[in-house]
Amino acid sequence: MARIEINHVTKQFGSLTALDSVALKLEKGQIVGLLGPNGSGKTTLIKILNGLLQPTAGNVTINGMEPGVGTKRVVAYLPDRNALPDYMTASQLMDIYQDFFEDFDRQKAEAMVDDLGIDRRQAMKKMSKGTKEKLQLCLVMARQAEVYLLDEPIGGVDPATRDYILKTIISNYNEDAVVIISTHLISDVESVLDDVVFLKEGKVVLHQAADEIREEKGESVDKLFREVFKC
Amino acid sequence: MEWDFKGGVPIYSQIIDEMTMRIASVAYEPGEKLPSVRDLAMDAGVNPNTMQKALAELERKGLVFSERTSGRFVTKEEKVLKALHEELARKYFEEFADKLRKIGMSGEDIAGAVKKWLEDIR
Amino acid sequence: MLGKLLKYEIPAMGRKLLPLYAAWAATALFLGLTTQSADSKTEFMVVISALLYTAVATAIFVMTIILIVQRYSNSLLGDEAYFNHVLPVSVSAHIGNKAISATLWVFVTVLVAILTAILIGIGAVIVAGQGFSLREMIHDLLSVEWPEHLGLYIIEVLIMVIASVVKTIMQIYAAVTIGHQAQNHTTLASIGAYIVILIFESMVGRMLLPLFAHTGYCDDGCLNFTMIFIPGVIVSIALSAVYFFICKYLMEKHLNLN
Repeated sequence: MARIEINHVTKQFGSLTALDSVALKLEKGQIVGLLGPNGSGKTTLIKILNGLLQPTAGNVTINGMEPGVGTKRVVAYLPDRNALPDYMTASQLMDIYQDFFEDFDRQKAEAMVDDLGIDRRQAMKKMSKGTKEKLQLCLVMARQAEVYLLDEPIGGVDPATRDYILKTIISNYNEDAVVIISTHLISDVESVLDDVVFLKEGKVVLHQAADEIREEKGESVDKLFREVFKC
Repeated sequence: MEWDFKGGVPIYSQIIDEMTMRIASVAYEPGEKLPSVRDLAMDAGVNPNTMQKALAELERKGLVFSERTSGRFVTKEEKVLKALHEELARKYFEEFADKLRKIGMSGEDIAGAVKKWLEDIR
Repeated sequence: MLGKLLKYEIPAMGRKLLPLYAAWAATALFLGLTTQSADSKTEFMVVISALLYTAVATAIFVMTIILIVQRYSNSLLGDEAYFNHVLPVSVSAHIGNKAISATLWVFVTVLVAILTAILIGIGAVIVAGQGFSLREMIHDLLSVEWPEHLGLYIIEVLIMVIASVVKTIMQIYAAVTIGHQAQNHTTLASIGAYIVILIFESMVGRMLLPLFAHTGYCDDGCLNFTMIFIPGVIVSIALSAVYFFICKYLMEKHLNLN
């Protein structure tokens, strides 16, 4: 049984088909890039894995379970927006994480927050957009989860922070976890990926090991992406 | 030491090249303990699985060896290191000769030019 | 997990209401102070303070309802749902958490309302120069001749009020959850759903009324409160359960956050 199984998932919003019979099996021990331009269905797929959206057809399982309390215990999710109560401080938000997630490593979170120069006693709403994103990522990555679902983790941050985030993802890597990074900034994440999945208009058009792509096609994943998604 | 990866070549083979270079240039000395896979991966900004794969390949080539509990070490065997140097030298010569041939130099021209150049820089 | 949710939910509502309570208490005291000292010259002060008191009371009333709706829709169907629905907590615990916390704050608001009435009195007494004595007040209260079974009536009324407050809250939650099923114009859809729910309730009421029409009276025509009380509470609890399961079902099977 694969850690994540996506069985012919279709999602329709009215007449719009956001996902079209997506089928994927993702094993543990790898970092997967979910790559596609805006509107290709990346966020929709991640939301379905979190149980925030219900598929129109097909189903998904994590450790053999459909999204529910059981999967939520082991899934760490970084949403594409700020979802935390923003009147709270970094410290208070760490309290919440500690209360609800058994796998939350408080010390690790504090170390990361300090490394990134985030004031633990500042209310989140007073932080800049980039700092908010960093704080959310610290909270998510400080969990020892089995599945990490990171929706655009490097979208709005500066290059130095981007490096820090990627290093955090690498250092957090363990053989038991699967990390899914959704992004359209491929050149930045390319070197940390095991597998890449290309989503185009709600369909999986490629699922292959990153190094295999480089070997076979003699070009970077980024370059291949630009070819596949040429306008 | 900076890592820099090019586009169209598998990252694991680029890591092998870089590590080989580091061993040949004694950036890692014979018998020296290598950093852990995770640390190397973090330093290079690559996936730990890829780093693991590259190190396994280096091990297969005999450039590094692992001791079950204490980690990976650079080989101490002079024979292997000598062969490595010879291999690298041959590779560079080939690249260098290739370029010179392209601008129309013969083997003799090249040998002469090398001799002259060595005298000039002395 | 419900306990942990409440630990954050109760203060989150209090954060908005506590400052308003303080303002309310202040206006009550001010009103008490002005009523007694009023003569023709300061009469306008009474009007102003009465207006202030009413304004804050209205604000709190409106705010409580808005908070009940907002805390529910934001946390479970809005942006914060992206966090709350990935917590390893059951949907039932989420809904229960909101309902318990909302009920609690409705009752705190009622208590504060009573308190402000007392404060008006205290203000008036202070101005009248009689001084305020808590002991005297308690003494007065104790010396009143209370009717028989008063304790029982109070408990019955309290249970009935709690049941109908919970029912009203669940009614609002159900309307919001149903309204959210619409792809857009969710607010409008929620209001529509609320109206439908009200119609549904009045239909249920009309169906049930004949069943209980005679039980409320004893043989000699007097009103038997307990006999009205029991079916009323049962209906409220049953309706609350229906609304609860509507919310739970929609959130478990048809949650679609956009």
